[in-house]
Amino acid sequence: MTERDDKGTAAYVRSVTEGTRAYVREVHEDLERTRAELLAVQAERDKLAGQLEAVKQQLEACIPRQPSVAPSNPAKLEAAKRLDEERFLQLERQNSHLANLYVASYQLHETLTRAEVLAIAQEIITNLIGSEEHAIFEVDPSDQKLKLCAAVGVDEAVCAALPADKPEVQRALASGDAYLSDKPTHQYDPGPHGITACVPLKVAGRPTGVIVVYSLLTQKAGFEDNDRELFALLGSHAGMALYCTRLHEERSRAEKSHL
Amino acid sequence: MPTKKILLVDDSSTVLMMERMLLNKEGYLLVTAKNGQEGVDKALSEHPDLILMDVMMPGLGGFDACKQITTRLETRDIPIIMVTTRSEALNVQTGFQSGCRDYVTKPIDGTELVAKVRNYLR
Repeated sequence: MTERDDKGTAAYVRSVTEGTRAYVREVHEDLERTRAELLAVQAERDKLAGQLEAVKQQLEACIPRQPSVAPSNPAKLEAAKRLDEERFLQLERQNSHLANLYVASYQLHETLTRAEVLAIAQEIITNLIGSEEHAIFEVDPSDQKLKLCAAVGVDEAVCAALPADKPEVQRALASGDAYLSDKPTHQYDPGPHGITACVPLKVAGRPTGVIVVYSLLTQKAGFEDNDRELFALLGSHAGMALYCTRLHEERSRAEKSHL
Repeated sequence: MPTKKILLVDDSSTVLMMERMLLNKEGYLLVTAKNGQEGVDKALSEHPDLILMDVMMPGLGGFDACKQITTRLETRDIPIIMVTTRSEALNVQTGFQSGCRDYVTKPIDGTELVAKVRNYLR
């Protein structure tokens, strides 16, 4: 190898070394720039995350919360819904029963005609209690015996002779309390056990007659608490309405006889 | 939404008052008729959205009135719910043959009646 060759090799090595150094510097500078950009992106991300959290908090503050029923608990939500439905149904039943009582009371006192009072009492027993076989008796003031006033679905001649002998009727008249059978029948039975209900008609607490129910409609299994209340109202209001219409008719007759 | 109109047909003033009380609070417009013939006439003149028809009425009975309403072109699409004291299969079958869509039995159960009406007028 000559001296000239040695110089050429040394220059080449220097050149490569300087080139490599320059390249490392550039890479280093790129790395610094990238690091600076990364820091800037991280700062921007943190800033956006902070803004997002603030918006979330504002949104949650706007939505009304139901602390008792968490939306994440569907079983609780379903139970609360069922409870609401049951309460609504109970209110509807109560409303229907109150409507029954109101209608019965209103209708019985709407007329001064005795025949209409009897017809309305029969309608109430048929449509609101649920019987198509029943009769209404009043105590005749002249002999204190029960007399048939009106009947639906039963042989008037047969049922007219029966009521005073029935223990249920005697008890109802004596005590003023209604008798309602625990095992009501669905077909008229003129025999000794043929009464499903016996409700005393009352004026100022004094029995003035009875409503005798012989059977219930087939779809009605038995009496309910609502029926007891309706019978109690019917006993006092029908009794009073019949009493008033009788007085009114007697007065009308007396006025006519004086003319 | 326009108010739905219901025609109540019954010869009993007690039942009509009861039905009015139950359905008034639901916001329906109510029209009444006291017998089957008046029911047919009012179905034609009033064009109700639903009819509640009693079965036992003097003169034209509920089944015959129902048949007339459901065979007339002007009224045949009006749903009819029969109100009956008899729940036996034969009676129910007669009702469906005369064209009624549904029935409720007496004594009137207000909750059931309102639920059925709501169902047809949804």
